[in-house]
Amino acid sequence: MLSEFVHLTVTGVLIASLLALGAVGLSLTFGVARFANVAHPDFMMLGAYGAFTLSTLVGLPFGWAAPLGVLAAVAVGVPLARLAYDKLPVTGTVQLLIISIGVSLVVRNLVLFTFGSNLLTYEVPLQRPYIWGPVRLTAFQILTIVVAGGLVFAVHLLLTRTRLGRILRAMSDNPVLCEITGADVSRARLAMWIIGVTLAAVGGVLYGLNLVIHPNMGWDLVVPIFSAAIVGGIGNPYGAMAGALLIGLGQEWSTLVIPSTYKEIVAFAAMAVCLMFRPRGLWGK
Amino acid sequence: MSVDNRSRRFLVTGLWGLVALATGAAAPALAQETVRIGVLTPLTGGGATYGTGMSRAYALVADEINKAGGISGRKIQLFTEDDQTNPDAGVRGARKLVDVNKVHALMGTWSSAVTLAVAPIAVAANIPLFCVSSSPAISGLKDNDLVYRTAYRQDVISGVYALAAQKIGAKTAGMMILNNPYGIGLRDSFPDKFGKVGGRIAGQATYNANQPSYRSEIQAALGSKPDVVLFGGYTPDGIQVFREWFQLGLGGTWMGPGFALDQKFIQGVGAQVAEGTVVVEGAPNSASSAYKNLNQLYRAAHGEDAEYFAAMAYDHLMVVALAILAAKGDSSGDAIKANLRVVANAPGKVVGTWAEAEPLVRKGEKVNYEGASSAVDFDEAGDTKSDFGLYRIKGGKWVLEQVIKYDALKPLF
Repeated sequence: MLSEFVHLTVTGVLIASLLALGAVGLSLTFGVARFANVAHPDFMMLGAYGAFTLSTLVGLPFGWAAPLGVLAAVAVGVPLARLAYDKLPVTGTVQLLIISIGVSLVVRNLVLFTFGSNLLTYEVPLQRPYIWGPVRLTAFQILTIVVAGGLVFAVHLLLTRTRLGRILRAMSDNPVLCEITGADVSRARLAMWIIGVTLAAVGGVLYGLNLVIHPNMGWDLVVPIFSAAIVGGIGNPYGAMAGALLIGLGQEWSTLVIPSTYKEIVAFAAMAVCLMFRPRGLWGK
Repeated sequence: MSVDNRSRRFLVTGLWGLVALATGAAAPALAQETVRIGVLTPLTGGGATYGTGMSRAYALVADEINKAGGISGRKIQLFTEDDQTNPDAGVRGARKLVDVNKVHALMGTWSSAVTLAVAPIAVAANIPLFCVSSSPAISGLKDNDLVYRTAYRQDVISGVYALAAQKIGAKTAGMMILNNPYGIGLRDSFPDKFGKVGGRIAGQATYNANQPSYRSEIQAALGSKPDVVLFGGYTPDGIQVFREWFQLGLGGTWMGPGFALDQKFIQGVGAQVAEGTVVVEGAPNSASSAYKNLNQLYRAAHGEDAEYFAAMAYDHLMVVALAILAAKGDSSGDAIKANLRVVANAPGKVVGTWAEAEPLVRKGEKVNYEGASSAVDFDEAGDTKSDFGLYRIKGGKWVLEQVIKYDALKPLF
């Protein structure tokens, strides 16, 4: 029983690391740009396919292909986001939400058209785990947890210690006032997209390293990533980290009491309950 | 009526003329008219690997019979459509074959969903349909005895897994089951069958498709170290499950169906991960003259062995050709139906190739066709009894270890 609990906890943390990389960016986008970007998890997919293209198709060693794949995803994803969300003469939360659904459809189908629907894997040999009692983790899985934790901490430093971070937080609190005080809102918005897409793309590469990649991988994560962001208090990156951990662990722990086929309900139920009783989220302002 | 009598007479005469032309043209052509066969196989989609081999086998049989002079002098002409492993595309293809090509028989549907969708079209046109699908629903179709299958039925497969587990010496089993009708059916029937051969279920998990990770389910199915783990899913989830299983380092032996643990699967997980996995699939009737003949033709044309599904395709066209021959060249649905069991079932001289069978059937002698895939004896429901192969994945390939005879399943049911 205890060893089962430990195993579920390890699995939950691993999944939470991947969710957090998506949810933090999503929450940041929501706070600053004030709309729910449904296409955000697809940036993870772009990162995963970027690394696949460079490693398997171009033939770069994976150590190079992974960071360059993230760069490629940023090079594609950021202009796309700028074009679709910042440059179109549309404002309003609902309009941007609907545009983002369209962006998601276009991105997924372009990848589907280019790479096909097959499951793809990186040409990196699968690893055997290190075993400490009930804890079983491969080197890549440890790397995943460390990188996710490190990046999330880096976002924290950026938000608290830099001028850009102050502007982003100010935009999230009061965009009009922020612009009046002379902050370069447009540049801050560009920075926001770069941060969001980078985090998501890293998450996608780590996802592919541990699991498999396919065009719908981002779409399949929409519910858990959104619930992590919403439970944590959407617009609040710290809440998103905590929300990811809550959803990841909650889903796994729930299998102790309910059949595991229903564990995906946990994410949905958490989101629904939260929106009903505490819409600003557990850590929302 | 604005049409005057003269033009009406002209019209009537013209119509009669057309009828006369049509019948006049048809009468002398009858002896030369080809036997039109509609091949409806999956060349794309989930069944593509198998459909391609089947289409090749149909072409090889048609070629062989045509070179030997055809069926009572009638050549076989194949019309091929891709059913895309998809019922919609299957119905479109079948309609085209029936309405435009006016085929005398349909054959090759692989997915049960496609077979069930296409069957009404064949029945309405009163032509036989030969499939390789496994759904029990196909046996119960109100098909006017026109739908035949050469594959095993899915409901016997849990018994086959139980025997396979016994044969590899497993006393305990885990189950890793996809949450859909096929997976749940297996989960509900396997424990009983495994119990009958003295086995015990040690752990199980049911999972949904498209989960980002299957770690906790794998732990639940394999945590108690069962001797064998039954995999009840498809290729895409199989690839993810096996990769995560390997990364968990839990060890153990997997067992699963051939349609999931196929070449695409082995490619997806890598030969190292798939090594030692037990695969259960229908086995060709490799001792028969039919299989030997097919394999020789197949090797010469494509440089590889003919597998189970290609062997079934060979049998489809062979029994139809023999039935038409027994009907003295009559290729109507009624004639094929009336003669199918006459040529395929016992009693009679055992035959397996066109060269063996043709002289006997032409003389009106009774033959019993023993096929490349099985004995091909059709029961009242149009089903046959197929043997099973127990394969192991070794070095990235299936290697046949044992054959499980259909009759060995009887004590389990």
